[in-house]
Amino acid sequence: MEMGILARRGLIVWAASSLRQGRGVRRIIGLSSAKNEYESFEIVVAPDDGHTPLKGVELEYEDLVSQKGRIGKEKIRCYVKGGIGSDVLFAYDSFWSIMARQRVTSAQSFWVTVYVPADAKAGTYKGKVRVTTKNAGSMDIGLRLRIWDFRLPTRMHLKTHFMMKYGELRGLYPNLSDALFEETLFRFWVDMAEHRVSGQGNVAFPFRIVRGKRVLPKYSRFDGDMSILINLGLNVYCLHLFDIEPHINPRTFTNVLSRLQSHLGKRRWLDLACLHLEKGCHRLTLASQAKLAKRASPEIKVVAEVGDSRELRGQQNLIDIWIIDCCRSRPKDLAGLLRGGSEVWLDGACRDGRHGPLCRHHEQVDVRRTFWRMWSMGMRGLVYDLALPTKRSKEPLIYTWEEGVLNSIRLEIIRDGIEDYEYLSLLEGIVGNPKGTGRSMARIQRRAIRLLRGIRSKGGHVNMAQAREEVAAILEDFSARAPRKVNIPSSGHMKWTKNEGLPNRNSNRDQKNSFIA
Amino acid sequence: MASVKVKLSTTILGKRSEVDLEADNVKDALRKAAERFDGKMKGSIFDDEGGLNKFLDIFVNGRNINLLNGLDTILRDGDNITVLRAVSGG
Repeated sequence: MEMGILARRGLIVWAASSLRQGRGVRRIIGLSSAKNEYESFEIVVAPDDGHTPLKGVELEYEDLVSQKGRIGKEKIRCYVKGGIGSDVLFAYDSFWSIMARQRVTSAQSFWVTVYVPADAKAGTYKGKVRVTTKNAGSMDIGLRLRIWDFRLPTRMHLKTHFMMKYGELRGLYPNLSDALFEETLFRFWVDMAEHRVSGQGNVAFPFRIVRGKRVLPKYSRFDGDMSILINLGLNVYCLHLFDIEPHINPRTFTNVLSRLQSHLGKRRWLDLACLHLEKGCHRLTLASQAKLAKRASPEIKVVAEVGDSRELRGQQNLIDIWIIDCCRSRPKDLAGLLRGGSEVWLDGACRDGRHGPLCRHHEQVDVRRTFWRMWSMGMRGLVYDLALPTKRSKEPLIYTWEEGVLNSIRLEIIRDGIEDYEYLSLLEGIVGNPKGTGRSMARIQRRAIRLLRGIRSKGGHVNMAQAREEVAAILEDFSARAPRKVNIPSSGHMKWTKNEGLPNRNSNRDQKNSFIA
Repeated sequence: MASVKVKLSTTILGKRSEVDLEADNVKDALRKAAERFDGKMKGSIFDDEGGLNKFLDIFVNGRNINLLNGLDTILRDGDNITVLRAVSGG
């Protein structure tokens, strides 16, 4: 990697890793990626004397080329980093971006994301990004991309549930007609999917409840929404009691759940389905919600928050998934839940979101490290219910503009973290792969076990990048030697026990630390 | 040929419209949709050189065609093509 700043009279340009917030200057940016993966980096442009404005700053990029193929420049997206006190990303052609690029008086950051298509050929690709100005010439930043010979799936192993209530979302676009709002909703789905996140809170509820009693199905809209989202990689459909109705009575509640289970079963979507128990229902306590849910729809997983466990009054054994609060829960709570065989998800936005592991004041590397910690602690999901810029959220991940959607750097880093988690999950799959026969496969499995044992939460950016490369190298070897190429097995069947000599993730030293990165 | 559905944004036709047609790839589908709504559209799907109008975003089953194979993306039966006016945030 060639380090250093590119400078000429009037203009300074450097590139930086997505983990380092503009620091760690480089002239050539080196990325590595699996197929069907996104990789990001930052380019910083500044006047050399710190005050003479650069006028008309533009970024141009070209196709990335290797001997085996080409990645078109349309797979590269550029954003202008902006917004005082926020980490919002403005699309390159947008109004604010054009304004910012007209006159650059201090360091201006550009966020660049490359998408590697699922059918790209493995190899090393080269290209460049040219920074041009109207008054200080131009400079090139080299771009080198190594594509590993394996592919990430569309549906990620890390389950995500980023709550976006339909009503809240509608309130953010008060001037849009219903038809245009539907299009905006679609843009949200696409945007969340491009960030590997299941943001399904706004899917049409499949029933209409008349006067708190009569239940009428509305499947056609629900089915259409779900089909699109599943195609985009949805891995959780979490029903909240408030989606049903706060005044619901036990009979209607049971009726809704049993009909929902039957419908989801017919569509083969039951593996995605969860019911989130919620306080505040006027006629149902948490304990009775859990009891009724298990009776009416035993195949729909019941989700509850660890903080509510006392109110479940002896029904805790009915809970399939516990959500652990990143700030208020203690590590021993997690250890206890995992010992009991429960699935555990992390709530990344406790209180107003300002103290969670994904909040803005953390370094980018720390936000991403959260996903390594989640993997090493055995957590299987991430919940974030403050993603929208509403009054109750101090740390939104998405911002709004006219009928458009604005991303944030944290959402980009979250995607990288989810992809890291996927690497580790695929590696887990290799260790337990029954097809892994033959000497070379056994060698790969031994390497994978050794690496998994060594993986903790990977503190610094260098450690994290190295570990990721090692994992990718093993996955590539496996993919090349596997009986059917690229079919890396899912890790869902893995049982981590000491008797099998595999790393026991639930007992590692991270449990002694706080959940906050 | 695949049977697909093309959905056009309210901002393109004045009201949300859907059309079922048969096409091999995205370019083919958009060309047929443009013929079907000839004269009713505000602006054009294609530019003068036959490329996609840069003020449009096209999605196949929710995936932006820029991340697929662009206008050459092959279609399958039941695919949904959504055409929206490009809105670049901010």
